[in-house]
Amino acid sequence: MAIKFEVAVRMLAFLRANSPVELEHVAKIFNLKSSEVRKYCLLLNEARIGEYYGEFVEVEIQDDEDGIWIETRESQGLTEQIRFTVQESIAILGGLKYLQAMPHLVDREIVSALLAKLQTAFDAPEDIIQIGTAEIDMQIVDSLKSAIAEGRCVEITYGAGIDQKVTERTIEPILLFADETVLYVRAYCRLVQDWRTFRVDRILSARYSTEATSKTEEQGPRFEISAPTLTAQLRMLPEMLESFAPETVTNVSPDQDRLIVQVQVNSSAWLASLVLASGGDIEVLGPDELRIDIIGKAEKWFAHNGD
Amino acid sequence: MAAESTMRQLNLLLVLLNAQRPLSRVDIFERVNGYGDPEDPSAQRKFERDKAELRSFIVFEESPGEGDLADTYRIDKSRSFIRDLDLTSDERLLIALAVRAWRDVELGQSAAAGATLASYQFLQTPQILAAIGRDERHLATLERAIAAAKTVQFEYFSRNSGETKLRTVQPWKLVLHQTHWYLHGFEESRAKGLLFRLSRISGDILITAQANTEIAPPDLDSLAQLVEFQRTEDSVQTAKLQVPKGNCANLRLRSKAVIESDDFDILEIDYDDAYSLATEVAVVCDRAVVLSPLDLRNRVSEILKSVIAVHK
Repeated sequence: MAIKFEVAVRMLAFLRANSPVELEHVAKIFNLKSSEVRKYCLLLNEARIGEYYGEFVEVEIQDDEDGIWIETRESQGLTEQIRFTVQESIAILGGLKYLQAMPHLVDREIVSALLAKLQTAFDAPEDIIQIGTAEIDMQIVDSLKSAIAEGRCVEITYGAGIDQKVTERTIEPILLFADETVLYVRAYCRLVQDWRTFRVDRILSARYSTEATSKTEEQGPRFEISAPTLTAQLRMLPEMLESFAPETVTNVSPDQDRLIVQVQVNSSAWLASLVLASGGDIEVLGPDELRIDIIGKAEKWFAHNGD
Repeated sequence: MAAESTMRQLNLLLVLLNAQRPLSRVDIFERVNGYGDPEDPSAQRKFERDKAELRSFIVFEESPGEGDLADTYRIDKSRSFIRDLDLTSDERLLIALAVRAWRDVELGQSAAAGATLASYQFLQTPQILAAIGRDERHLATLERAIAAAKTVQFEYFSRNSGETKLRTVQPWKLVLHQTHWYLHGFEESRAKGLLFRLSRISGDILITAQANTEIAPPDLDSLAQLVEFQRTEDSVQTAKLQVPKGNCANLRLRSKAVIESDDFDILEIDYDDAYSLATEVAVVCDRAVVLSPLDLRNRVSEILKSVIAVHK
């Protein structure tokens, strides 16, 4: 294991701010094994001027019935948090900018005040990372938040992204979470009698219900990845590749300024809609049924709307 | 060994922090174990490496000696530490969330330094989840380039020209807009600030040794520019579309009014980005009818003619 100066200094600041702290927590935060944290503690203990150990900081590891704890005592010379590097500052402030763009998750005013405080303290360049705010109906978010807090159901009208069908559902929401700028709600859906993850921006309306929830999910929130039902060969502009989750892409090869991509998806309706919206930037090479389906849908447009 | 050099760097830090006056190299070599003879070139190389390492965290001042006096070294304590940062428990929680949000490995590691400002119990908090930086392999490289204020080069596909060309860009900002990441920077060949969508960069990004010469304008608003680029109309237009009941959710989500009848609904949708709306209509082209305006209908037809052309 390489012992890094940067990690040693940061760990010391963390240990001093949180003493006593469980060794396991330190390992998680710094993404190290327990044995590696012990090595860093030993190193910090041995740092010294002249002959005497423990002059820099006295670090003690104690085993007790509640776990293994690290305690720091007397310390010379490093009693304050060393400033962050420019790269670290950008990443920390960028994470906060992201939270600031998600007012439905956290209080935007508190984030803004914190950003101003850190910007000054870090002496970091401003606005290196800029995040667009997601447009979401705050009334819907408030209904979901209240329902989660009070353990109540919510009746929603939901527009499925796969086939654009609209359904009425009663859900038991347990968690709101964000992925990039998309907000999701994890909930038990009484319509399908199973746990589902819904995009909040696809909820057409939400009505808070007085009915109490009855389900708890033990394994925590997760995206369902159902088995793929369709393998398709596509030719596309490289930028269209970002429309596909990486786990659905099984092969990519260049073809002049395009890519030949093999994908495994679980909805031909979703893939067809993506190809239709691409305006020719994605071509289906196979299977033939999908090509025919896409042409058929496009021709229906001209039948209904004229040429 | 790495542990030895880390120990030496920690001791150097300790010695400099506790010094009452600027120290010469001889003073430092006497106090810090591990350097050896100050005249030994390898000892001097070690010292140079350690100074470089310290400089990434500490404001480290090196003053040339006058006459026969040796160069001296000191840490500027007032600029090396984060002072007067009195954080509330809410703020510590937010820092914990920000630190955990990054899914990009390199950016995540950079942000993890902020864990020292968040009480550890907050880092365990699972009630709010947020994630950023997924599947975007260029983000960390560009963050490094921006931090170092160095020019970058990459191959970029232009939708306007349909060509992929080498671009030399002085990077300013990273922007996340509607699930797409962009770089905003000064493109040297066109001598102006431009936005580049990261998914249109092919191959790797090269960070050059050339320092940025153009600084970002103080009022640079990348998001406003992106929104402006997408606008196709001078003013907000209203479209009327006929859709089947219980269907065309993507259009219903954009509608401001729904006129219901027994067989179908008529949606009224405000828009200033006809391209975006036409794309949404194309998704449900087998079910939707554009009643007005004609321009929107024509845009959808163009999209679908292209689809048919590549598939026949």
